Amino acid sequence: MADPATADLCVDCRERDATLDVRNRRLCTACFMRYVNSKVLKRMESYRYKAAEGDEKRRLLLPVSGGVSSLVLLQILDAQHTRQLAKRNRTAYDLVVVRVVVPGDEDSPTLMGDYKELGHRFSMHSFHPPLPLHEVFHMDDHIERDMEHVGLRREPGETDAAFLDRALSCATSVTARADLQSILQQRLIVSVARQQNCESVLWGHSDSRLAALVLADVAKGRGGSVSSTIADGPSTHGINYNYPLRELFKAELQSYAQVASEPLLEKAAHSEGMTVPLNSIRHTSIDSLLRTYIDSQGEKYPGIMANVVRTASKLEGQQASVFGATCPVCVRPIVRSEGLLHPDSVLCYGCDRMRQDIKS
Amino acid sequence: MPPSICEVCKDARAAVIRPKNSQKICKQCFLTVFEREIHETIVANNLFHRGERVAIGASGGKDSTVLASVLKTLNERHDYGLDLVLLSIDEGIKGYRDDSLETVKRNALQYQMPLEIVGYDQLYGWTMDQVVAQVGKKGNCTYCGVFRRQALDRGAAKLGIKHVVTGHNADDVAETVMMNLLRGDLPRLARSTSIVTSSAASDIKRSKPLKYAYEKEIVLYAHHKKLDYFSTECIYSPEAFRGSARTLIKDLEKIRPSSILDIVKSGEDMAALVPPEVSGSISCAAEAEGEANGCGSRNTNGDSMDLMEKQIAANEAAASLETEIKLPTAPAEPAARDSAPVVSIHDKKSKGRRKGKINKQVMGQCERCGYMSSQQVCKACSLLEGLNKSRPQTSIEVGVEDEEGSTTLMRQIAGIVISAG
Repeated sequence: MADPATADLCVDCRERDATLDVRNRRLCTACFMRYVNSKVLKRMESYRYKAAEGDEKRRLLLPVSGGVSSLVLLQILDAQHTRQLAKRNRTAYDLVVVRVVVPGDEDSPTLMGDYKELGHRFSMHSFHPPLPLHEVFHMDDHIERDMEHVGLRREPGETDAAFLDRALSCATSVTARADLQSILQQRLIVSVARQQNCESVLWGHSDSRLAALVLADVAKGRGGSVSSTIADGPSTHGINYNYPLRELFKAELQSYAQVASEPLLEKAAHSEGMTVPLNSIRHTSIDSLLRTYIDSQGEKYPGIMANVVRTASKLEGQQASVFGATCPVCVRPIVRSEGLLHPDSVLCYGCDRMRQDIKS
Repeated sequence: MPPSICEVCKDARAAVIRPKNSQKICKQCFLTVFEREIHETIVANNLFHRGERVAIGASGGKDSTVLASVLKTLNERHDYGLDLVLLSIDEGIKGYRDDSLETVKRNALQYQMPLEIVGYDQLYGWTMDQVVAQVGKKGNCTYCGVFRRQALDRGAAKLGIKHVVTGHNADDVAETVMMNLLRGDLPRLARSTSIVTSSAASDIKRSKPLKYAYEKEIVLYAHHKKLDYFSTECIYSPEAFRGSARTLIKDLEKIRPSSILDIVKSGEDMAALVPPEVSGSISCAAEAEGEANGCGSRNTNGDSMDLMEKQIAANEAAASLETEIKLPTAPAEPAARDSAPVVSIHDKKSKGRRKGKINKQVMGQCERCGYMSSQQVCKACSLLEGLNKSRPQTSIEVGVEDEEGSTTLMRQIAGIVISAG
């Protein structure tokens, strides 16, 4: 048995006292921070310096939500930039940060101030002004035509904001509303990336968040496209998707935010700690049910929940033989498998399901 | 409030809200539409052919009772020309199976179908009660699942029947999809949604005509048809993964009733995306089926969520310490050690999470009992070996060290008696 004096030393450096339990290993704060950083930077290896000097510099879009995960990502990449500048006097890529303001967010009195503060703190990067979700109708050239597939048509003279409000209120279920909103949000972010000449979107999804997304997509009949949704690399949107936090649990990002000596992260971690309890199950969306499921089960079985993402990633997202086309609404591949449940529609099964819950 | 009128016939009073789509319909229309949907499933998938003898895996529970009743109705109404037989497995669970078997015996009379009962004690020399006394309540579902799969096949073989239908419903399939995702079991994810599972190694085909039927509608059908069924759940509790998946499915159904079919659809689509080198083991369905047998799992390391969690954590800890050492040349071909040509061997179970290495299952026969297996010794025989080793020496077969498993099983099978209900 270990000598009591050495019992709680960090298992990595064997110098400092361990302060945290990380996947059954006792680590000190410094080693834990290195662990988080290395997991992220390993995922960013494809964005190293370009070979030729004259090449145009890469631009990557990082959407932030105000939550802990995307802020941790921003902080880690910012630190990487600082190191790159010190070493080579230039960075390997440029970051463009954007915040989408979704319905419900607008009332937040601190949103604008917080975002400004963020831009101030991470001033090395360009911050796109906050974008209200209804900008999607302005920035995405095809969105109006595509929304007609789910029975949503802009009325003459209707403003973007009014159209968005009406579209969301046409959803007869909480799930369909959440589904529609997340599709619009995703399309808006892709449009911004295009407009800003970004080659990739860096999503701040933790492993836990991705697991919840996988299970929710399966529960919404979107299982066929889930492997391509969570894949790193080219997406069906014609732009790269990257999930640099995919190997870190939500709880680990929370811990990181608390120990990183970064006031903005601490603040976010603090406000996220106060989660609102689920209201009655009928008023819960499938997405939030599965987030709660992963969080609660993840406390006891973090590995199993993480394994969900690994399993879904093993599905062949690009197997041409079973893919018919791309769904005009969610822009994800449509799988035509055997079975009796095929929508008589140009939409994928999941969007067709959503359409049935939209009464315009 | 005036009574609502049936949305289908617009005539009778609505008595049922369909769990599947919240339609308000009358009792008669519900029974008709329920039967018609199963008929459509059968026709669209070409499940049966005229003159076929079909064994209905009957437990006395709601699913198999409804399946038997609907198949009898449809067989007569649409003139399928099927010869239907009830096939029951007696696991030997007092206070559960003995009572439910009485129900099956009554069903046999009500539906005028012959009944065959195959007992674990005859086949394996062990009842489930004895197994539980031996191994405890944890993990016994593994034994039951493995034993039942073989028992159904052997029962059908005894009757000369090549097609067994089971009462797996949409809820079971959805539950299995979620469970296999949580367990990370791609081969089972690939086959658990298919309506027909047949195997190259076995000539007995399995199908689930109720695959798209909601459990709640099955209960409603049984209720309105006044069917005689047994409603007690198995007294031994379900395995953790299935329990967790089941709770999740029920919550999802509350949020959006269509979720169950939506998950089935997701499962079908994901199955089509399972890489062929993984789903290549699809032909061993007979060995690894029973994927949705309503209670247990058969996956040894999937038995307990705790166990799997520990394994994952250990793998991860190992991976973080791991230094990859590569051999200078490709490893030599493993020496041909299998003497029996039909048997294939997993040379190595890859430990941990080596990427790109997939255990492909190749079917052969169990060298002890002759049942198809991807291993030298089938799962049932290896489980039996463990059980028999620790059995008190009063039992008759013990003593022939190496072959006790095979002799037990062989002898029991040879001595199996057909009881005609």
